[in-house]
Amino acid sequence: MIKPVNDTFQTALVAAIPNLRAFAISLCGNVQTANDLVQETMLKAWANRHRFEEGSNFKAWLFTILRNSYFSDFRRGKREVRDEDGVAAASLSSLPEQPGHMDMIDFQRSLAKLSEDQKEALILVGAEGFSYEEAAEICNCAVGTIKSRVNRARARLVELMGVGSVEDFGPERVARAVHSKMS
Amino acid sequence: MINGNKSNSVDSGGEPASTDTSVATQQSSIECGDESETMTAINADGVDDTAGVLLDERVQAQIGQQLTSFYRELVNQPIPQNFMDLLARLDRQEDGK
Repeated sequence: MIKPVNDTFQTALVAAIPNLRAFAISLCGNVQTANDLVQETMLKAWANRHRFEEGSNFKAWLFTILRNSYFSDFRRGKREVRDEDGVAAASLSSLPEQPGHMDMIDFQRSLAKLSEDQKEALILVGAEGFSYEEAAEICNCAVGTIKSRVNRARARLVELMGVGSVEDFGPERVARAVHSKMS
Repeated sequence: MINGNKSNSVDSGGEPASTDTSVATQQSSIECGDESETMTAINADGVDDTAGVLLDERVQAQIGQQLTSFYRELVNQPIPQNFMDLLARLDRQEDGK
């Protein structure tokens, strides 16, 4: 009897998986952990589907479940297999070579160095396209807090991807990065 | 501008003092925020000194672009098969009730 509702729910859930995975990989920096996190999110969403308010933002609801799972279970717990430069970068490396590919890996390394708060805010607003208000609701904090986190994340990335990267990569790498920025 | 002559000594990697100076300068230029120029004081063989000076806005735009293409690449990855298996399992559970 409630089957059609479930079908709609499931269709919407499936449609959101690519974005949930992208958000999870961005947070964890590790594809396997991210996949576990998304599957747990799907299970929780399914189990709580009666609690979703019709007409509210379904994607924001799912993202809220995912980030709460991440911060409660995944980040500190034993499930964490943090490997900032390794697995996620490897998954990118396995994709066909394309222009700007090294920039992507550099970018991911820089992203991994942001604080969790800043990274989360930056991804939600800058990459996923949530409004500051939606992001604030997802993260359960004030709108002003989200704004300042996004700003600080951007400033930190400039630092990491500009001069700051000399610490990690040495002059040659920086010369290349500078070149690519100029081209 | 702290690049220029000084930066010639950086390329051997043996001048930690210069590196520290350049990082400190970078941070202060970020704090200035609206100041139009962000400096890149690092130089290496074959890179013109003028390449070290970037507009802050341009760097921000570049980072925004890298963020979106990084994220787009992740979103476009195929969904692993076990996700679909999980959904099918949920469906069956529901049918079994």
